[in-house]
Amino acid sequence: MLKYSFYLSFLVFIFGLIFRMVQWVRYDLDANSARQSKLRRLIAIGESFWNHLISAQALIMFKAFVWEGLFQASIARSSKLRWLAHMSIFWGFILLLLFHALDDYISARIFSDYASTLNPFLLLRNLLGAFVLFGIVIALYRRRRQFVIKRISNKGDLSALWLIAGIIITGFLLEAVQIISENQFDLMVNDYMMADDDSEIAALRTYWAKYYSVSFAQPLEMTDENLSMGESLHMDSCASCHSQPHFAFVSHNLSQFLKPVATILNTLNADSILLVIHYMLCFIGLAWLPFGKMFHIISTPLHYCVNASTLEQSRNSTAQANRNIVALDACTHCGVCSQNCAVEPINRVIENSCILPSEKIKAVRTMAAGAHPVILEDLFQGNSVCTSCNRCTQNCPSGIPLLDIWQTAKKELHDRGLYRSEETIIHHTAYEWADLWKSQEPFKKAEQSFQLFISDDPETYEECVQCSVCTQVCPIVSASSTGGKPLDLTPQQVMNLLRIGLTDKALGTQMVWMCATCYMCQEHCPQHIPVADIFYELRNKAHQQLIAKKTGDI
Amino acid sequence: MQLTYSYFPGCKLSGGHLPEYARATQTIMNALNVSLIDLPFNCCGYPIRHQNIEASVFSAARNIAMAENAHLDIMTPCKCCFGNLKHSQHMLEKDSQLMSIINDRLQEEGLCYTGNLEIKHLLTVLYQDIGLDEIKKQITKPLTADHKIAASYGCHALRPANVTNFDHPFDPVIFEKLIETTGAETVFWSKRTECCGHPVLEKNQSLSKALLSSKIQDAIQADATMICTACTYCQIQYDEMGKEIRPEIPTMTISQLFAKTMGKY
Repeated sequence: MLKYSFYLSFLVFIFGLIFRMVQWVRYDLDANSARQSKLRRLIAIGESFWNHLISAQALIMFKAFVWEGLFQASIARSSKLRWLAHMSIFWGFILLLLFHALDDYISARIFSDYASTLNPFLLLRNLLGAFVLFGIVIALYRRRRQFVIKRISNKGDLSALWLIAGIIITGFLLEAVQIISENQFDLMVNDYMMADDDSEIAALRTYWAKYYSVSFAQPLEMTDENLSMGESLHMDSCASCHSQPHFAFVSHNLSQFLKPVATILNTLNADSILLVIHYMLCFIGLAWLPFGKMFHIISTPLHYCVNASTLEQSRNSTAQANRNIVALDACTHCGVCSQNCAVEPINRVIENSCILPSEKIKAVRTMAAGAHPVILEDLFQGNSVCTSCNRCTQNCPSGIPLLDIWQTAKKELHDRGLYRSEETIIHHTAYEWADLWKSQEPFKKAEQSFQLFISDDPETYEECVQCSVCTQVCPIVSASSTGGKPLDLTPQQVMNLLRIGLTDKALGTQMVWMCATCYMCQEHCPQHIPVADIFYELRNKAHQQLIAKKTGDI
Repeated sequence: MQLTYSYFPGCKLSGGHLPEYARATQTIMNALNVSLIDLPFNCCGYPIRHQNIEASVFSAARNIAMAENAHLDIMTPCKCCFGNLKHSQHMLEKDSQLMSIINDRLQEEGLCYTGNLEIKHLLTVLYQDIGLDEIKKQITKPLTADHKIAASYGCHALRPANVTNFDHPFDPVIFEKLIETTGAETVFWSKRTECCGHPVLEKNQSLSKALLSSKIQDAIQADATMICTACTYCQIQYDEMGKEIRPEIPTMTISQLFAKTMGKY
């Protein structure tokens, strides 16, 4: 069964890899990429591979692979603790994979006297397992405790950690159960003992019970005679393949806890059950790798290499189209970008996860795959909050050019007909907007957190005498009238609408939206009406109306 | 005693826009024996204010709370950052309900806002805290009087004056006085306190251009040979659009002007 499970998971793994790699060619980040023929993009991959292989670039890329991929220098730059955790998990797991999981093909061929139960392999295996668990503990702590990281961590991140932890823990448990297992002892005796004499086996049992921690159901005669006979038998038949189990420092200590229930474990065949679980977890990991976040084992080092190559930076649009998607795949969802994002706090008030770079990049990827307009709307709104402070790019351990991606996405979404509220608003007149909003289902008013939403309070405008000073000092009014395209209403007229209670009709006026927020009106107003502050509030309100309905509805 | 501030460069400067302004500000502060401390600040909240005032106030409050935590006043070279931080401080002072909402959010990460600190613009720090005399001492390569400089104030620091407390909202003086320490002359121009046009750039490019153009014309009519700014957004606007309109009149930030006359360039 294990064999077929392996074949199945390996098959899924291979198909998954092909599936993901085909996406590098299939997906388009922008219209520019979409114009390239898919065949040419496929050829471009081969072409660029070949070009690099035969040039000195191969060396530069190799250096990037070693430095960034194997030693993870970028992670070290962003956080020493995260580097320690990631290196422990990565190297611990990779070495276990090579020398333990694939021991028949690697360890046995390199070391002529290899046996999994011999030192140093026995000790090293435990050491590596302990490293991985150490890394997992730090990573889990980070995902659970660090404020921003906790907010962005999802099931995918946590299950990846738990899966790796599960593989290691079942490995330790399996080894612990095997150490104390009478079944295992009997099996080995059957396979490797020359003699068949019961007294000899009894002697060996006493020796193994004393020095190798095996737990036997029947009481043993612990005499010196038995032990010395056991020792010589052990030397003949067992010693060449077995170091003392104490060297497996994790499993051995674990086995001491299990000793009281050793008989039960034996009757339950716990060792074979654990073996199946251990293997199955590995197979699940293998099959899942191309589809989950663990795909970064392949995509991120590849992206490091692509980034390092100066050949790749030549602006060949076909290669660029492929490179964009590889960059999107290189995200490990580590969250460092969101931790450093200047507008992250804004996301705590406006609940659009696409404000955060670590979530936005996923949305951009779905956009590249041809996503539903509703996702695009969220992406567009979230992306428009970005202030281009570039800290995401500067801090990304995978070296993804995030700001470039945001700007490409912004342009692409604009080309697909998504507009910011400032641009949408001029598509209709203020009165048309008022009617549109009236026809909408009653807009669920967001819980008001302000006492100071002054525009709702009629007293705010009570003092307005329509003297028009606000209009006369407004630079926008004067610039637009000398420019030949006067605005629909002046500040004083907007104030009048509000004064007579026609707030709906004021929300969509060009005056409100073209306001430069220079506060000339407010500062000059002889009646102390906070004109500019009111305009801010009106834009806030109109904004809520506009984003309450997704594109296409209005 | 050495003056110390937490330095709030704003997203544009920290994102690599106007690298000369960023570098020169650090240089002159260094020369004037002012220590600038970097804190992990976020966005000042100015860009999001049109869309969601609460998000804007929270964003500003988080920065202020961090500076409070470090027992430092804030100094920023951007007038829009300055204006929004001040505005949020003002709102929180007046609205206790808003303050408790904001503090509930801040508490999640162990921060607390009381608002008990000063937010200062670069010009205020230079004029009030350091003083003209100290600056004059550092000017080693003064300009000649044939340099006629037009000071472009930047509206978000000036108004609303009861909130920003920067200078007179229509007849400010500190920028000119600072420029005059370099030996250059300043000119009086009527549009010096008006909007540069950057806030409407993304909404309406021609309107934005018209605003800037009328300012530049006004400065030229007043015989200015150069325009000086003290705001990231104003400088970006003059840099990007001014060159199209009247390329003959250069624009420089106050930090660069001082760095140059202090012989640091």
